Amino acid sequence: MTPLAERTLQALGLHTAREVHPVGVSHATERVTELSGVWQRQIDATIEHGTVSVDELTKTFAGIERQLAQALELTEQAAKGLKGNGAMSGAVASANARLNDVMAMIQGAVEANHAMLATVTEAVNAVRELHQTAQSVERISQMTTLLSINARIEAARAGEAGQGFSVVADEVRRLAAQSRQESVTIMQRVARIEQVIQQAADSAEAQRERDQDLIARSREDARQILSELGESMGQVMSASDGLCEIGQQTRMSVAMALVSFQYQDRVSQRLTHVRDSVACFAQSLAGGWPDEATLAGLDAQLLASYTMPEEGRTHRNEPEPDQSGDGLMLF
Amino acid sequence: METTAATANTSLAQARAASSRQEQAANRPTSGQYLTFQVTGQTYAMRIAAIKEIIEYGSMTSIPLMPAFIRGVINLRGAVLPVIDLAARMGFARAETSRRTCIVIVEMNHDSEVFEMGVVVDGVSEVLELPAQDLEPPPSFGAKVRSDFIEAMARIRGHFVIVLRLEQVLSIDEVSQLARMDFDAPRAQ
Repeated sequence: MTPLAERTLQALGLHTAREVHPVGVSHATERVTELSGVWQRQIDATIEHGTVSVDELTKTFAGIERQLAQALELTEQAAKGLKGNGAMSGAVASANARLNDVMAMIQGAVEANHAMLATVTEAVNAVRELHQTAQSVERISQMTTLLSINARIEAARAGEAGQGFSVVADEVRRLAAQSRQESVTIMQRVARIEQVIQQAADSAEAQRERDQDLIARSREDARQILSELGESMGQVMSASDGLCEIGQQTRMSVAMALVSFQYQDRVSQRLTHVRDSVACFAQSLAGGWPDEATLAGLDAQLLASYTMPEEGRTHRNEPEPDQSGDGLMLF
Repeated sequence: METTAATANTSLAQARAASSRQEQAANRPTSGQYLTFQVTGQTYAMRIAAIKEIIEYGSMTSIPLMPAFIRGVINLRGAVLPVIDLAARMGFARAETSRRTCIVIVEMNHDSEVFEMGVVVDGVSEVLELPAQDLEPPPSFGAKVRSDFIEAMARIRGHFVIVLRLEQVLSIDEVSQLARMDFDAPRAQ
């Protein structure tokens, strides 16, 4: 008896062919034929069940893999955006540039203010000169007054002859008094103008100091904000890098899982070969219990139907060679 | 003797009274031209008859060991002129000089000699023709200055202005006496 026949009989619960009772052989053959039908159906159902389940699993995993791929793509795009001339670092740079523009504008305003201050200072000087001029006018009028009084005195000393001259001297004195009055008015007005301009200059100076303080503070604030932003960006970028890496690894794992699901094909093949062999065996039972030659033929037929070497090894009851280093074997 | 003496006394008194009347008549303010000027913030007047000219206050040479009212001497066209501080002479503090401070150059007669001297005033205003009716005799007391300094009270634009009796204010005798006293005083101590 061949090992196959022996294993078949063992599977049937008939431990040895010799234990088969000669009486009711035909009855036993019928039972075996029926049983082989049950085996074939069970094997078919198993194959179908496994195939359906594994197909479902494969589809689900393929979906996961696709979603992972999409997520990865998005993350990679985002990461690419964060790096180099990407959108985010570009945004920081442009924010920086715009802030600098604003700073330059403020600086410009301050400089304009500065120029205004210089003008005002110049005006103060001009007014001061005007004041000096008015003072010298007053001085001249004072001297003229003195001159007219002296003329008047001289005229008085001249007696009758000096009377006409005395009138002239008096007129000169009146004019001097008038011009003195005018110069006093001018000085008052000039003093008022000087005061106003000085106020303007003072406020401009105060404004300039405030502006400088403002610029310094704005610059510091902007620098701080940008550096904080840059720091956050760096964190986000490194997080996104990490995400990409993990995503890639997960995708690999899923791909490997998908490959592993192909075991179902091998299981199906093995089960199909066994079922076919069982079918052949059931056919051979039609002419009574098969003889030695028929069984040997069945064995050879089964052996020939194998597509995978491990089926043959299982058939011959050989141990599986160590494949840990070989990687994945598909078919 | 007694009678003679009495008569003599009477005649002396009469002579004094007459002299006083004469003096009064002579000192009766008369119309004329007056210079108004300021000293210690107040307006005064003086006849222009004695005035030679008015100059601005310039460089002054102080003379040591002189009373406060003798301000010093100036060089007027080569001549050395003593200068009196009118404020100090009238019993006020010495005049503070300003841009308006002037020196009035006056001519004084003394022992048929003519002396020129300067008078420091805070400022001069104008020369006015004052009619006799605007001039009142000096009050016997109550003015801020020694009354023998006052020649008359002039009414100018509704205000009374003291007309200084220049020959009294600048009396050579008195000035020189005062100067001597002041000069002697430190040596006596």
